[in-house]
Amino acid sequence: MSYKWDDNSLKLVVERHQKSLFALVVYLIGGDKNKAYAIAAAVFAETLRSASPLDTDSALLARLAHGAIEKCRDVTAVPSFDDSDFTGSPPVKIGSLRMIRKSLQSLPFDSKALLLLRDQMHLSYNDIAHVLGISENDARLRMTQTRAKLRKAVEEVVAHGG
Amino acid sequence: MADKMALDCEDIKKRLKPFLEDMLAEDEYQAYVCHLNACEKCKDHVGRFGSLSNQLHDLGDIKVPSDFISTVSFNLSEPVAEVPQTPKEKRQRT
Repeated sequence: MSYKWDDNSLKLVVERHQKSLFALVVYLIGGDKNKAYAIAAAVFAETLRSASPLDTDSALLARLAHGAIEKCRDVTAVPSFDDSDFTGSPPVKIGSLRMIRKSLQSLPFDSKALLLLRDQMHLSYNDIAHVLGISENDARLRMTQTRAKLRKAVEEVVAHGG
Repeated sequence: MADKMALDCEDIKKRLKPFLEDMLAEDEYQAYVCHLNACEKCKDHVGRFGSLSNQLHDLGDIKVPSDFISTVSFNLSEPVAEVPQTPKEKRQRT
């Protein structure tokens, strides 16, 4: 069944989740913000067609994340980041953000998705398990392994001078 | 239904290490994030610690184009948005 969203409810729900969904898509596809904009807007529309304002925030966010991951999976990630979002941050922080971004991009798609779902979107492990179609225990185990992979990737980026 | 857990600024300091290591129970983790989203002081405090989780969180601080809501609304009003629009395509169309 398709719910008819009024302007106010739609504005509220999009404002609440747009930043984390947009960021998820940007990092999954390698930084192309024009493409990310189109994908995120399409995911919102598709998800909201089968959602309603009565859905909990976390359930809606998990559904949005699932839609985004499915849409981004087949997009070839061509790293094309700029530093415009870091404007105003201290130089040391910009350096560390660049480094973590580069390290993240070196990971396989599913590893990136897992890290972004937890550390950017702050989904529960239960929701992450639903989004990725795995068990909660598996999600926790993979997260531990993926964090170790990211740590290693950071070390490699540092070793090669950032 | 159980009440949603709430943490105060003191709780945030006490639970900093397990939060950074993703070792909090799920309800505590969600309450921790909820407090950080509402309290700039704690957000700044926790943000000073350069853990990988914090850095990934900071990466998500991306500006969303201001016309995003209207594009979602437009897509939602279409029967099926087969080809998603980029801002450039949208400008060309209008």
